[in-house]
Amino acid sequence: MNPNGESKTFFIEYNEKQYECIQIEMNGRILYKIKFPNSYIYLTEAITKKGERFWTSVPQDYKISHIVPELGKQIENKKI
Amino acid sequence: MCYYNGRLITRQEYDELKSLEKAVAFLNEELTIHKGFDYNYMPIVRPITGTHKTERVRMQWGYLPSWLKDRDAVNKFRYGYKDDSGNYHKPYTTLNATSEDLLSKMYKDSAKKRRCLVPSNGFYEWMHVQVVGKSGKLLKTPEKFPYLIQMRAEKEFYMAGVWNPWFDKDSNMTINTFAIVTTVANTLMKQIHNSKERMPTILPGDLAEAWLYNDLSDQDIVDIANYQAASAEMIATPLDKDFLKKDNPHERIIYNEPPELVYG
Repeated sequence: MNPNGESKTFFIEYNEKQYECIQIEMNGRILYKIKFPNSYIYLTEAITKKGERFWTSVPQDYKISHIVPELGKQIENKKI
Repeated sequence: MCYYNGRLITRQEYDELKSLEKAVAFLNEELTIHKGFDYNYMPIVRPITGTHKTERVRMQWGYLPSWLKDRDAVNKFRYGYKDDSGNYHKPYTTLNATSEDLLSKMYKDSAKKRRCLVPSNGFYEWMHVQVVGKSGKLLKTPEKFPYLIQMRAEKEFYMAGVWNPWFDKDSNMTINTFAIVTTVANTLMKQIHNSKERMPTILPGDLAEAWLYNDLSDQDIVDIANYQAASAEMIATPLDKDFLKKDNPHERIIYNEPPELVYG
């Protein structure tokens, strides 16, 4: 068990650069913490009312909503 | 209708994402240094009643038993006081709950019903070293050398804790408080925390799960509370004596006085 702890770490590629991504189990869901040089963002996979899966930042942030789908796709390719 | 980042989602999904937001805020908070006697609020992990899920909530570090009637009683409890006859009553220190005392009157109810985990990236202890003064003689008061202790394999680890709700009748609010469970120091911690020879009860995954969820007997509670992480799993970094005032508090500083640590 890993109660809300940081667990697996891997790297994703975005704009031809590599970024560390840490998989965290949190409140029964999986969060991904992506580390950028001076900041980090948290992503998780959510589900719409129609049952479609989508990637979202946590907390909500419209300013980065344009990069979230691509980052989510990279996580899907790399996640363990 | 509930929207999250512009997508239409169910109420349940929305509530889960909002609860994740709070948890993320706590994750960021854990990067800070907490000093016990400030009685600050810190994130702890506890089970969500009726589920096999956990939640992170903030609680005040410094356990308050329910029998304290009001703030005056809390102040006397935490800081000590002189009674009308001039007799001094010592304060109670409840930042830590020793594993041997978990089933005492103070902690018993919490140990049986309100166990939690305290996430940490590292903790600090001070080695007391007798040093020679300018006169060439040993000084009476030992010098204190701080160390940061972390787990080699895990950035974040979990210490056993117990919590208790204390009702503040002055504000009509309930304040949740907690204590970190401590056990006998292992060989590494005996060298560092050589004044008390204690260390937090750091639980591996299976014991952490049992501590949170299982219906434990008194003996199980004592056994888990007494669990001693091995010296070899830990790493200790010597710090500047004034590390709390430094921009880089975790910079490794080697002093000559403390003996070299043995991890065996």
